[in-house]
Amino acid sequence: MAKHYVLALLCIMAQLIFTPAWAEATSTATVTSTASQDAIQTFVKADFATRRAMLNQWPASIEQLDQLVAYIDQNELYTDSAGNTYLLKNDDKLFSYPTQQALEQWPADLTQVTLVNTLRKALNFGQAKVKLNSNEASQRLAAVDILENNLGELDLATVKQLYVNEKNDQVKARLAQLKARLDFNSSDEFTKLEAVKILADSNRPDVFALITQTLEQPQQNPALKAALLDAQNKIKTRLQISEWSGHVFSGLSTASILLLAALGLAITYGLLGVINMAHGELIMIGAYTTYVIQSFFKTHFAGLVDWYLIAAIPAAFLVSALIGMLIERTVIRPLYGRQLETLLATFGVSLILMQLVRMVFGAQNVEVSNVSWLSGGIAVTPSLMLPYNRIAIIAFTVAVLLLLVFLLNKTRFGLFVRAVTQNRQMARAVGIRSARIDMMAFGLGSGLAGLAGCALAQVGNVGPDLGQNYIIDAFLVVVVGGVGQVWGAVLAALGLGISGTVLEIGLGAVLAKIILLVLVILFIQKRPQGLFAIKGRFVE
Amino acid sequence: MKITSVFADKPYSAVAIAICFGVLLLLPWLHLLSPDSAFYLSAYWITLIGKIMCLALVALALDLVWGYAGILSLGHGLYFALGGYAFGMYLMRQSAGEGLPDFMRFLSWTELPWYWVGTEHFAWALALVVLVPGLIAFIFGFFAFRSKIKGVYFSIITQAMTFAAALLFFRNETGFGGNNGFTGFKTILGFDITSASMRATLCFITALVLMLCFIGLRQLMNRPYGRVLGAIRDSENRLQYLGYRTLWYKLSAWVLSAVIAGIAGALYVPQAGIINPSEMNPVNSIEMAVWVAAGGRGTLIGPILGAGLINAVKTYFTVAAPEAWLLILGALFIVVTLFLPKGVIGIFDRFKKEGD
Amino acid sequence: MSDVLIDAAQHGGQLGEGYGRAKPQGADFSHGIALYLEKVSVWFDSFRALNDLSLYIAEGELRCIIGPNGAGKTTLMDVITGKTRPTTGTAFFGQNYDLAKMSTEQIAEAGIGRKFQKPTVFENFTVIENLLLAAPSDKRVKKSLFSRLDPEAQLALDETLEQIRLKEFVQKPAGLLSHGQKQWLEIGMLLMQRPKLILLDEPVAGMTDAETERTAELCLELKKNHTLVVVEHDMSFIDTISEKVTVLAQGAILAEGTLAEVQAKEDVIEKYLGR
Repeated sequence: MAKHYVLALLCIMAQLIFTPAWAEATSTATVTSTASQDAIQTFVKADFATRRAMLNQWPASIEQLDQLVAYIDQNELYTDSAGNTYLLKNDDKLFSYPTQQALEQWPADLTQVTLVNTLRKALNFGQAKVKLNSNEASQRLAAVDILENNLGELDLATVKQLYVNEKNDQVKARLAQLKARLDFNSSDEFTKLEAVKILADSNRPDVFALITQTLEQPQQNPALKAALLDAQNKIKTRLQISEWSGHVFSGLSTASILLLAALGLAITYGLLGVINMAHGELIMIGAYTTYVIQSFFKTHFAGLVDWYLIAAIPAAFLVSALIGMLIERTVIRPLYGRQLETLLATFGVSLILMQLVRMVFGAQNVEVSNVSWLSGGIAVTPSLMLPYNRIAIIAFTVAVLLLLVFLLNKTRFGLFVRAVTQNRQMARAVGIRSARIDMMAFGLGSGLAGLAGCALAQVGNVGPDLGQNYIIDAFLVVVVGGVGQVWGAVLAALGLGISGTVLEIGLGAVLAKIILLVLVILFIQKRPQGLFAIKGRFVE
Repeated sequence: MKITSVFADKPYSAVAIAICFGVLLLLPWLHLLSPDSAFYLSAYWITLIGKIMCLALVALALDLVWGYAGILSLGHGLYFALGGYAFGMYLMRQSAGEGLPDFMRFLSWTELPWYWVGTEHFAWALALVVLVPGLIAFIFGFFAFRSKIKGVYFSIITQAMTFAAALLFFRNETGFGGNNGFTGFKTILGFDITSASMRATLCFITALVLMLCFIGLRQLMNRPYGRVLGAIRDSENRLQYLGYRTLWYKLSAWVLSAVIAGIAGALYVPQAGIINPSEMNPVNSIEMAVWVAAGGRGTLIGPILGAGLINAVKTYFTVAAPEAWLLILGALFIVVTLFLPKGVIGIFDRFKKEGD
Repeated sequence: MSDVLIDAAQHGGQLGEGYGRAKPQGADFSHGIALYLEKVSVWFDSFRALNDLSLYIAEGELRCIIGPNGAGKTTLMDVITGKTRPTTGTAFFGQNYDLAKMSTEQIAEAGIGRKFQKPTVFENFTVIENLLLAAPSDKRVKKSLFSRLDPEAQLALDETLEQIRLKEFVQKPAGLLSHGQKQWLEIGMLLMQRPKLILLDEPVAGMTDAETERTAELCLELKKNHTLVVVEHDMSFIDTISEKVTVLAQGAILAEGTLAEVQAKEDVIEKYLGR
């Protein structure tokens, strides 16, 4: 490990000493940002030549250039006849740049900043060039990626030079791949063969396609053919692993969402024995609460929009918890012990909640936009990207789970809940106010549903029917996991989440759901108490 | 005395019920009067009354298993839809004549799937209406009751089943018209389906079947069989200690109920003119439970009343104030379970007791 | 079930009408023993409810079983009626009925009737309806479609009503009977099954003195035609009816003998009766 750190340090020092040569002639016209304008504003205002010069030698930071690229890619950069810079978000909100103030009045002469092809390419290469000059290996890596996506513009000599000068192993390997791509087109058989051997280490789908295509043409050289086949197999395996890792991650992500949805139910049904058909709607209300909070932030605290979650998470919990407690008091308590009636009555509550939401917010889905720091993801390989928001949800689920377990096992409240669950009469005999505990535990379960809704809003559509899509799955998780404790639900969610995803890939969403339902029914037949149940004699 | 007991135990109730059925049997024929007549009933009213009677028949079927045997099914819409689809197959063949039904041609199919064979015959279609729901009910019920799944678990599984079936029928490959289902019916036995006489006949047959099922189930429940079912509802365990094989009692009631629901579906489809997988929506089946609960479980006449009243209210509101209907339905669920455990019939009984 | 019947045939037991069903006469008591329990142990997870228990009840006997709570008395009854399977050991009714392999319904048909601790009559039905539920000799669905009771069942019905002294209450809903009357109704329902062996689980719990006396009379009457096993705590009641008493403690037999003998034993006094 220490060896690598030393190497990295040496690389950084080497970068400071050696600046890599770049093929294109540097333009003499350098442009510096003026004090009152930043580079992006200058770029927007500038003419074609100036823009090209800027892109050739970017005068500002890498981050600014990345930002410019992002704005252009998302079609958000706008200007007016005076050359002022604007940003258009969500197709309907205009902000001034860089002050980020929302504008009520739109300038009449607003036009989008678009780049012709030459400038587009210059933009990409400009970005790559700046990144290549960076001291950070990660930036240079990103640069190589950009270059690989624009192979047609590269020449071998430049790449060779970069390769020779590069000190970082990781970046060097990528440059070797890049060089091999170019060498692959060589007419010299030997060069080609060597290139294929290097390409065998690639994990890119486009390389795989290239090799497959080449194999389809008749090959004269047996050594070359062998090398191509070898490369094809290796890359294929790598791609498959990548794909399956993606599936597993997908399954984990689904499982975490399932678990969030089911945790609340594990409390209300698993612990209290109450069938609440409105649980799905409590999830839905959590999602809508999140939406409302985000809208509120957008209109009143536009600069802080990215932090709305800090308010949304507790809000979603509270709103759903309060509504849940109201339901418990008015509908569930009078029907205590009569499960079938509770099922029907709470179903009525569910209908009412759905219709009320439809009436207030409309029947269409509402938009909950992604927080910027959760957008994008970790690109583990070119074909496998793990989105940040899903990783965040998995982390959030784990956090909520741990908090819940702590609450149930280490606090007095948790103790009372467990006591009431196991033996209500005795609990009351020692002075526990069971009715109050019921209400609060139900509130807890409902609040958890609200949290699930908040998480769901980040990854899915938010509409009045949101709850309906999750209620059956949530019940299945609780039933399979076994009532009376929380860990069964965890296992069940994992099992159902992952197997559901895998089945879906193989058989399509509909058949996957049907098969899962059948499997669960069969499982319950064999083991009606679920995966784990509270031990002891069963009282019928 | 003896004759009226066919309809109800107490003579006054019996007469009232008999008169109601009489009216229902007569109403369809008012459609054949000339439109200028004061007693004319338009096609809209006839089909509406016919459809509501079909739903009342399902409520009757559900009362058999829920009101008497204590088995809450939240998936009876499945059997209703299966019966409807079975008869629908015949209707599709009728309108397609010698060729394939339209939706099959859209899918570029060149021949009938094996399960469609024979559906051009009226008698076979009728047989399917009884056999398909019955067989599926038998298989499901056998495994479910044998594994002693009870109470809420059972109800949720019936929900899951109808949900799964809906998903299945939504697929075009299943061969039942996908999410469009069956529609565009033209004839039954060669007679035009939209003619006044056909409409009146269908409505009359529905009323007749409703009355006969009501009378038949009353008779059945007065036999020891009915008593055993009631005992199963109260304490199945105890009954087993008395030596009863409760599985067969529950299963026979379940299959009978499914068959009646299937027949209701088959009568519904020609009058509604369409059937699609949304009939298997889990919500529909839960609504059926509310009809029974609101009318009065275990009274047979209560669920018929409940289905009639609630669907009449629903028809009114979905036209006048559609947004309000779901709120009303939801409130109905809550009110009925909290305040009317014996349903509307329970209110009648309370008045009677106070009157005595 | 079929090998049970073949067994019955081979041992000279009689088969009633309905082929495929066991009638009470099917149990083989040729050795004079009605119930064999040999080395029966019952485990619930890690808790041992019955511990290597061996018990023999003779035909026509009236055996009382006493012991502290948790001794395994209810589990014992559960094993006999098929609600719980013995983890080890065998349980036989007569020579031929292997109780560990039969379902609750089959055991009930074979001739073992159980009266529970709490009255479990059907509260929503009247007295006569309760008895009618217990009455038919053929309890299959097909027969239940017809109203008429077979004549021997009709006779049994009248006799039973006499015996349990509920003739004036035939139309009363069972839920409205007194506690004692409910117990008798339940015994009545038991009798309608024409059992050979009757298990009574705390029959006089919650009864008045008068009702207790009446119940003791009932037990002695029943003894004439049935084998009885009675679990109870009420010592004076046991004194009135008992011949042989078995004391159960911690899942095993502590002592057996007449009530006087058993009451004199040291460990019985220590573990159950108190000083």
